[in-house]
Amino acid sequence: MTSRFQNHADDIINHSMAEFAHDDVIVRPGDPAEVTLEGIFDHAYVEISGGEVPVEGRRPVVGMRTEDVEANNIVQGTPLRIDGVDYFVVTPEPDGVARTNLILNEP
Amino acid sequence: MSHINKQLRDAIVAALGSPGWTVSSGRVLPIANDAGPVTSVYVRTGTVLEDDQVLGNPKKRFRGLSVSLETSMKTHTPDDDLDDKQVTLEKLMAADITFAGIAIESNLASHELQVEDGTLGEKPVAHLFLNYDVVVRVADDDPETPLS
Repeated sequence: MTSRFQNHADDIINHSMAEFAHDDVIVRPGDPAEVTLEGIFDHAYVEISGGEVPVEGRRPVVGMRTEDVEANNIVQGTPLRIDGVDYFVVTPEPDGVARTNLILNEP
Repeated sequence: MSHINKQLRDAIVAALGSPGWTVSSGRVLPIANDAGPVTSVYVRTGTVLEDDQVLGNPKKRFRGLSVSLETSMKTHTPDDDLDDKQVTLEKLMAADITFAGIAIESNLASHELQVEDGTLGEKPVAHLFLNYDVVVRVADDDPETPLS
């Protein structure tokens, strides 16, 4: 049985997807199992330090419905294409309720 | 003329020539996103040593400089890629350990490979540190003129 909290969480993720998901996420592009899903893509500036010399970069992340991620078996290593750029999933970060952020790398 | 530290950095950059990637005298802060591999040459620390029993002023002293060659790059195969870079850099650094007469001698003291979290950017960032002990000699009142 679905809890009221889960229902609210689903409402929120569905509402935010409807409002902000302007990015088509092509899962497994070119594969017979290719599918296009909704996602909220972000690739904000990040400065990666660690050595004495920091390195500029972008941190590509796409937020998706957890149910879409699970139904399409999107796991570490799954290839995606967003805005014509190929990525693969480094790690899925589910929020435990309704949304999963997929941390991406370029191949 | 410039300080012996800068002359040494510039001489090392000249010795490295064009190895196939960018080499910079001094730290690049930060390395641009699309810069590719970058080796930054910088003097980390210096220790002033007493010279050999010479009285008078100004004294001429040896300085032991710790010079780092830090190579940073984005790669999914950091160990392979930076091991390749290390081969090139070590050979070039050993070709003339005086760097055209700026230094008395130079030795590789240590090296380290550091890989950052792969979730922070488009690709994992890796840093190779080659740390050299370089001995130079200058007079106290003239840190711009390298002495033999």
